Amino acid sequence: MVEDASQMTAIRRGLWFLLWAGGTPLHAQAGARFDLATSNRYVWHGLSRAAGIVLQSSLAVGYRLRGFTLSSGLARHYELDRVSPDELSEVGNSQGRLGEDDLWVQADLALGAVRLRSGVARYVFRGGSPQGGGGSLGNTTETYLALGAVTAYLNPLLEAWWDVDRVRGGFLRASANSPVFGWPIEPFFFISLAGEIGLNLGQHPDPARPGDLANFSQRGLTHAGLGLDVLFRVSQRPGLGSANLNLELNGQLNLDDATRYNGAGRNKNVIFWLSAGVTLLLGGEARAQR
Amino acid sequence: MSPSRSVLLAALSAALGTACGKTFLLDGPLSPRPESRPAGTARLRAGFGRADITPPGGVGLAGNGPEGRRARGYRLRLFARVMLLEDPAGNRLALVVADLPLGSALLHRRVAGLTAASDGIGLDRLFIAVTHTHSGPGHYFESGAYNDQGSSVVGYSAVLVDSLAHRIAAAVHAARLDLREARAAWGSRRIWGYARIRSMPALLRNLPPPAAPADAPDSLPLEYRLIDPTFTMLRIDQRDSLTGSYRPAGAFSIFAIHGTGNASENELLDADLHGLVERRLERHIDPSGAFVPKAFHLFANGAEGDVSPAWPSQSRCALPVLAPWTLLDGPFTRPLWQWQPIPRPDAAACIHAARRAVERIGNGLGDEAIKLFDSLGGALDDRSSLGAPSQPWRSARTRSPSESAGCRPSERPSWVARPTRLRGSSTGDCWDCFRWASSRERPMRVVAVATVPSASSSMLSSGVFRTAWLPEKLPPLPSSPCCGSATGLLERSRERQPRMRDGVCGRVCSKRSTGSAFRWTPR
Repeated sequence: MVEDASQMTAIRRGLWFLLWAGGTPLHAQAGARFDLATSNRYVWHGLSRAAGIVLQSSLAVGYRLRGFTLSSGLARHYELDRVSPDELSEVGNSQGRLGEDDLWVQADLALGAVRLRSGVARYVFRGGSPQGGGGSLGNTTETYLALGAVTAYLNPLLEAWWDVDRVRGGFLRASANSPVFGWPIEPFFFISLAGEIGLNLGQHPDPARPGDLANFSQRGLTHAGLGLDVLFRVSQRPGLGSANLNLELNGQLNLDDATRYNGAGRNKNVIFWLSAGVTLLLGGEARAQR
Repeated sequence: MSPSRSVLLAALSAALGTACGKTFLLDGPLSPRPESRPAGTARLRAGFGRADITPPGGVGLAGNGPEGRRARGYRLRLFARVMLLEDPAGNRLALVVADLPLGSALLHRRVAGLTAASDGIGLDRLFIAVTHTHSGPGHYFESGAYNDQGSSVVGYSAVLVDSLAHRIAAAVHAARLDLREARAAWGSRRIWGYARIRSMPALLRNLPPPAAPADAPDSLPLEYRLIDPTFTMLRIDQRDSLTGSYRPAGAFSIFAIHGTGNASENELLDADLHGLVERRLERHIDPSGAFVPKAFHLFANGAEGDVSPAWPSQSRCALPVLAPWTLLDGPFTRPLWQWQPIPRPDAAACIHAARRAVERIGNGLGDEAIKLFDSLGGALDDRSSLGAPSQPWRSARTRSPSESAGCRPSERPSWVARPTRLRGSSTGDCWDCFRWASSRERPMRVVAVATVPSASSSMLSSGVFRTAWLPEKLPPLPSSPCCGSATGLLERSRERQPRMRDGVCGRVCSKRSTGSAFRWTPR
């Protein structure tokens, strides 16, 4: 009897869920996003991981129920140019071009102007250690929790990252972006500014755990960055989605030895990089996007 | 449209207009010489016509700029109504009032091209005024800026231009076939409380400071008292050929009120405020209950650019804002941006509030129109005559993409139209009039400001063939300061400039605000 009652409860909850989902406006359901970008540098958490011509592709799919979104994606990082031994690279001298795969799953809750999101990211490094690449020894997993707000002029976001695998330690990232200009007539284009700072809370070498990897050299501020982004809506297909071109100029002040590291024997206090990409949005809100 | 976006669009359009294109003559046929009328018909003749100009859904609802939505259907159908007047000498004048958002020199010439030969109405005798409903279609302008920026739906439609031109021409033709002996009467009435100044801060910069007319009710807020509330009407009764008696047939009236009460989120084609006023009087004249009454009320927009209907603030929808696109915004994706629409419940609320306001204002003004129409019954006169044109028509020079290498080539007939001054005209390049002279030697003047869209004026004065009414005792034309153009956008971008009060003869008529058409003077 107890088992039957719990089954009935589960069925009832399932029906309520379906009713709730069914009442959701069609324009706010499943969607997909494909990004393809090229850049002269791959920077992650303020750390330069590859220089030269890099290509990043990512695919994400998601489902939104009212303010709640569940999404997942895979990002792949390729290095297209030949790498010299002292150059920043994840691939090293290995035959392939693929340096890294990042798989993530995320839950996102929008409550009015406030956004709360949490997720897990798995980093898989494809380069082989003997060839100078990162290798699978660096594979690790991070969880993150982010709190942000969407306002008319500034969109701040505070992210707390926690490596639960090979690094074990926390990293805070505070960022904000602001729309500078938006063209209101089709074809739309947007110009925005973005800034961020990183704070390492425990992803540096710990004498108590000599087996752990480290991302940074010491506790404290890791970097401060500024970016200018131009987004051009190339095509908008009502009911289908949109295609967007993106051009981004970034500059970063490196404050930690690890973020300064720019290859064997090289340090850079300030780095700049340029990236250009295309983003395809399909389904979901993108069908009626402006 | 928000002020900053309006200013931005105006500046960019002006820059584009300056950069692109040479000028060419956008020409059209003049009216043929009037035929001599048969003996015994030395009286005024009048005829009416009507055409349904409601396009199918899918068009952009022009007037609200980027916030203008795509039409999903219609509420009140859109019509073009025609009043054709013919004086004893055979001079004809076609007044057209169309439920459209904005005037189009292209459309005017296309219609004239069709009516010149068949009905003797060339572009010098054809007035096309629009009601300025923001719930009418775009895509029929000679101005690329209007086609692309009038609503969120971009583009010029040759099919729509042809459709509108043929339908309006058919209505003119029907009015010509309907020409019958007629009696006419002009009259006016002051109607307070339905319209108000749209930009009080700009108006208050006028020198000397604006003062409310003496008859303005003290109970009204200042913004409602600083307008010209004159509702002017030309009533026409036609002679029944069977009975020989005259029966009320229709009216042409003018009132300064912005032609839109609908909210910007509205997705239905609709004749808006003017449609209600038109129908209210038509159904009073023809109480048969027919879906399309046999009576005609042409309700032209006066100088309405800065005169808003008395809608409540909650009937105006919020504007979309720039916001990051958060769906699928993962940990490694770059932010995307969008114009975030207002929430659906908010849109529904403002649309509903706007509809209530439209019905209250439209029906109220319609009732006032009925009172005025009925009061004119005793003043009808069948000996009125039209003045002869004192100036030949000078076509506007426009810019053409085909002649402007490097600018966007398209089938659009012109990028930008530029008004030219009337040769020898002492009225400046602001406006021109034709004059209605009655047999009682009381000149009454209808002022028709033919605004030819230009780089500046298409944005600043809405490029509408607008009409305004001047009082009976008009100062000599050369010193006449009246303009019938819309000035709302002008004041937004140049608030420190002194400017006119719409609906009232003001001090300043910007040379950039309107173009010239032609002028009629009494014989």
